Amino acid sequence: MKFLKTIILIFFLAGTSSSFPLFAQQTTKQEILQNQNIEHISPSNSQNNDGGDIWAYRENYVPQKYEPLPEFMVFVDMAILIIIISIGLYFVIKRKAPSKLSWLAVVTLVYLGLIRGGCICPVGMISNVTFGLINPTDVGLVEMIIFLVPLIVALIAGRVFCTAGCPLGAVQHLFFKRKKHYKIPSKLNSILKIAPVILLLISIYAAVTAQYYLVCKLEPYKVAFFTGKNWIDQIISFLLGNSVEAKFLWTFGIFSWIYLIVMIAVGYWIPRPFCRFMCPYGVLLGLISLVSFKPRRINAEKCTLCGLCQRVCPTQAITIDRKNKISKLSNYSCVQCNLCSKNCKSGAI
Amino acid sequence: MDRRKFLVNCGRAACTLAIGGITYRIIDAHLDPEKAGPATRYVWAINPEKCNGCGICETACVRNPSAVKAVNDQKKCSNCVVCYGHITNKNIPSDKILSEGIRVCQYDAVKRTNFSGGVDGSFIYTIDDKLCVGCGKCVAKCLTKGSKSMFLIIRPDLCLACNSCNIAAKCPQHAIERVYIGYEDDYKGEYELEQKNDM
Repeated sequence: MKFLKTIILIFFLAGTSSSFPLFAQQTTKQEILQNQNIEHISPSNSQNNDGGDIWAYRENYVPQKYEPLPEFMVFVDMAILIIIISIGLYFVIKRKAPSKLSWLAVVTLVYLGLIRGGCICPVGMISNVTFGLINPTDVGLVEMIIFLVPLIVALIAGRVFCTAGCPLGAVQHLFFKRKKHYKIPSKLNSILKIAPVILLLISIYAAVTAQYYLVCKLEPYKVAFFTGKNWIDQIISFLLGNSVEAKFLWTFGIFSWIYLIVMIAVGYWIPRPFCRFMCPYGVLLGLISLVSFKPRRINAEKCTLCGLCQRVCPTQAITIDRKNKISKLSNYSCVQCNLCSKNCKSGAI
Repeated sequence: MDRRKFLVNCGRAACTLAIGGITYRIIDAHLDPEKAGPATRYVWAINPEKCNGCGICETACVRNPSAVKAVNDQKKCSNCVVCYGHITNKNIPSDKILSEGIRVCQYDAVKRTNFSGGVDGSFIYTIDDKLCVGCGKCVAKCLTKGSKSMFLIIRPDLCLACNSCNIAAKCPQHAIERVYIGYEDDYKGEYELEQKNDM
């Protein structure tokens, strides 16, 4: 862990230090403006003069600036994401109660999802990192770190990110039927599992050939996130007294909203539809989880083949065969929600 | 079981190599200050040289009303008595423009204020961002008939900074570019002719 933290720290420092030459490049526009010794003259002061004054007004006009959110917020978001994932990692390794992971998911949903708009998300970063592999300057350093941290964590203990840090996963994690949710037949499940792999390949292909962000288009939950961010931005600017649009705001068309509602409704009976059958980033995480250092396993000596864990598992990662007395847990599809280890009576997981 | 362990170790090595490779490929370019990209992230901006004010920004933006707003560069505006971006009927007398005639902007966001006094003279045109929806009608008129001082910007304080911009996907001019995060203002830049005179 210490080694990892130092690596992250080095990335962070490299990110901050390499931003300085960029500021120098950005100042060309500012320099032009500063060289003109600007003093603002309002039109009301210089009225009733001859027409020559319009040139003075034009020369001295100070362009109105529209500032984005300060740049350090990107670092704050990154730090919060890393903190959430490392707390989640601790909970998963120590096999704490699943309610604690749910609270982490609530924090993720509220902060990364609704307040910050869900776009600090490694799922969509697949396209950005593909651009970055072709032309390294096309991807920001922070974007790359956000993409890599969940993968590194997956190498330690599996897909911790999916439950704890992912705003998309958080929506699905918080809205599914805990008991007696519908199980897809195992054959159909294994066929549907191929879909994310295909989507991953297509999205990489689309990013390479057409610079197209396929993952971002497919993702249903962004509608809720952007609306949330929009409203919170509007409330903040209203409280600060400089609101630009004091009317009802909404985002996306009606089809995106129907898609969102359908996905949430499906997700209530069939848990985690997006994670299991669409998410291309889950493929990368799953592949790395297969060889993780501290995987989730079923202890065959303690296991009584009762099937409780199979019943609660939201991703159908556990298969229990009573005839052959085999119990298996696939780390590829497990999202580390700790429900099985809580429900297991004999502590076999 | 040994074979399984060997495979797992191979997988671990492959994953570490892959993560390290991606890191090296990107960090390497960023450490070189000449080639370095942005440290944080990209956002979207309109290139005013390519934009022709077609109006797709109004409907394509996921935000409604759009985060795209029109601005008027005061350093470029010719301060005409009759502005093509302001009013459609150009034969109207100057003192009746404020009360009569059909506006180009359906929300009347383009405001005309008298600068020099009197009926003729200089007028200042500003665009009210509270009313503007980013339809680009005034921009298109100003580009074709006026002094090209009006242009569209993506307001960074309103933009949701989607990873994939809906407008960029639909823009026929490919005017939406990924830029390093920063401010936008209503200064369009220098004319090509002005730059030649300086040199």
